[in-house]
Amino acid sequence: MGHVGDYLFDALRNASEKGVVVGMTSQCIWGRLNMNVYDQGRDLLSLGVLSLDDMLAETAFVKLRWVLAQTTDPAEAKKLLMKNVANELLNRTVYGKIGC
Amino acid sequence: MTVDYKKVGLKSGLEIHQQLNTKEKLFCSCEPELFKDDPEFTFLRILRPTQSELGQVDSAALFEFQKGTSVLYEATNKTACLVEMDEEPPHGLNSEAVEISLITALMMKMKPVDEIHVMRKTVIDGSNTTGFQRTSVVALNGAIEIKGKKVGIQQISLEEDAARKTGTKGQVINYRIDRLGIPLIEVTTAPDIFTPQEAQETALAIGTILRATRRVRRGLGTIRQDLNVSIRDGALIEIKGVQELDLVAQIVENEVLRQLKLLEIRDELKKRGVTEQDIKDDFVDVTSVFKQTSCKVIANAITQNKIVLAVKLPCFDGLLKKELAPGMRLGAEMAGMARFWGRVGGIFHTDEMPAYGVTVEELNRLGKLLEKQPQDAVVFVADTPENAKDALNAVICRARIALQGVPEETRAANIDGTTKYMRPRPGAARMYPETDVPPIQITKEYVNELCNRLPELPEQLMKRLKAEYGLNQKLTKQIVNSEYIDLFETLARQTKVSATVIAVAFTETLTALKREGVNVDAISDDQFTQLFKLIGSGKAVKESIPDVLTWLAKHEDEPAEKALKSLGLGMLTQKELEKIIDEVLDKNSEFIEVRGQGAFGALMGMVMKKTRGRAKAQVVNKVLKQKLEHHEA
Repeated sequence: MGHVGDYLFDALRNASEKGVVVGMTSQCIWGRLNMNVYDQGRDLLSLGVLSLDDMLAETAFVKLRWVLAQTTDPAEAKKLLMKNVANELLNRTVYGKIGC
Repeated sequence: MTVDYKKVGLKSGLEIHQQLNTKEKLFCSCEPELFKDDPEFTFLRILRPTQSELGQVDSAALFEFQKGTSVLYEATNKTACLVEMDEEPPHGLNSEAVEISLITALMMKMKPVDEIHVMRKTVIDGSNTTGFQRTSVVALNGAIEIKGKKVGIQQISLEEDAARKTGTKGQVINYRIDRLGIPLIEVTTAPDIFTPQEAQETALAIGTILRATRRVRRGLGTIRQDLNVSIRDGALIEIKGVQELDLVAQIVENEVLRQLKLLEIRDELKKRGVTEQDIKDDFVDVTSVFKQTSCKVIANAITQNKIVLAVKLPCFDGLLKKELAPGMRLGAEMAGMARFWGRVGGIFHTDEMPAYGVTVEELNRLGKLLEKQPQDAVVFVADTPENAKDALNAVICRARIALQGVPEETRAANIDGTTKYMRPRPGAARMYPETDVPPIQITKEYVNELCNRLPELPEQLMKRLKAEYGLNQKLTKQIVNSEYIDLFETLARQTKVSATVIAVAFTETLTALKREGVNVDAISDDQFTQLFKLIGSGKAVKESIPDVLTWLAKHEDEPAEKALKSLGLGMLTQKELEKIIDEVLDKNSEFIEVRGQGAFGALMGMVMKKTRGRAKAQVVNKVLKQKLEHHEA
């Protein structure tokens, strides 16, 4: 479901306000993040943290580097990061099938 | 029997459920489509009762658990993801579905809520993998007008549809989760309906408004009506799952009759002097009576080591077979409850005896064992001791209620307009918040924006259709009330076929075919489109429509062109047509000599009959005219 401790909230808020793109992923290789289930996740959303759904952490990291090479505008970068490019970010997780 | 509905105090309200035509499901991105073939995977679940936040255990859930029921869910990857499997929390509320429900609400002059909150409604029959159905109130307090009378619309809710049952094997129920999560709106009227006819007209009017949004699904099962019916001194009865609009009035009529007759039975029992204490749970094992029976059901049960258990209902003789409404009897009501609470296949009672292979001799011995007097009735069941006992307890319970009149209950509608016992009415407190889905704010700006682009209301639509397509009054009304209004307009614009021909096909022709038992719901939009394109381009004639549609209904996903071919309805070539005309002329040469040009009308009829929709009337007319002149010369 996605959590970090409260002690990180100030840092995340600062980063977000300064235009740093912050996204959250999970270590799980199957399934997706849902930040609406627990309070902590909702708080993070309100701090500007993006829910990166079913993107793998490593993929998200590489993708963000690619995104920042396309644009340096934070809003535009967030949009690009949340856009599916090569099936790395899908809106459905299907039983018994990974990735499609 | 004619009933003065005002005098009996009939009050009725409707709940109309309509599937929305969205691209995705309500809480995930799956396709809202049903699959026909075998499932790609299945999974088994067992419903377990747990304590609620208030420390209570749902008695109905406990009951199902004790029955040992499990559920086998069937799915395909296209129509279900982890959300339907309840392996993943729901995604956000589908904004397209929210928009359609708001539009519907505004068309009924309702007030949208400020914030949409999703709630969970406990459902324990296995039709939801979660054990609850998600629902949310979208708008309140509107009204529609039915023949000058105002009928209040209390509420519109946006809900997820449940899984559909595909069968039962012993203790395992099968459900397909393709339907689970399809967006549904529920329109609830106030109890402002006072006659069966009014109920039907209200249902029709709401259906027409829903279709006027142009964004609802069509076909069997995409719209379902629930009816609430009560009369003075009777009880509030909820009737679930009326799929045919035409049945609404009949079902309300039958329910009023049923309640009136139950009140008559109550008075009769009072006259006979029965009290609740007289109806005792003294169950007698009468298996010995049926050791040699020729009743197959009982004989089978006994070979499986089951027992026959009986109970006496004092002074009930003749009342169990008394007809409440066409096709409904008190005995059947008892059987319904026995099935639900006792898991039995059915019950036997002396009012229907001798029958089913049970002999008079057996009945006499049965009567003796139970000390039955002539005025008494006896009910018996053949099942395991536990089931038989539960079933008879249910029978006794129902018999005691008969002394008081009409029990509140939820009933299921049958396709013949009768209803049957389904389950007790659920308690009021079965809703609690769905905390996994954030609420959605409905801003004034959004509502104003929607107000500015509301679809045409049915009356406006009628005016425009008449003007734009030159349809007559009757046909316009029919097509506006039809599920095919959208497709009609598309085809009237896209093809060269006359709008009247298309409208007639979608109304009168389909109704006639339906009456003949053709499953017209199976015909897809694509198939309709192909057919009218063929007609528009002269490759088929309008006379072939009924035959082609009948064929298409039986051949899902097959193109209309194939229908023409296999029905031999492809257009005749000029040569083939000439040959047919020559034959007709030759056969009738004497007639032609007598009548000359005057024979034309009759000959035309004969040729058209022979071409059976494979030639255009204009072409036949032209060729025949030429040939006839030639023939004379």
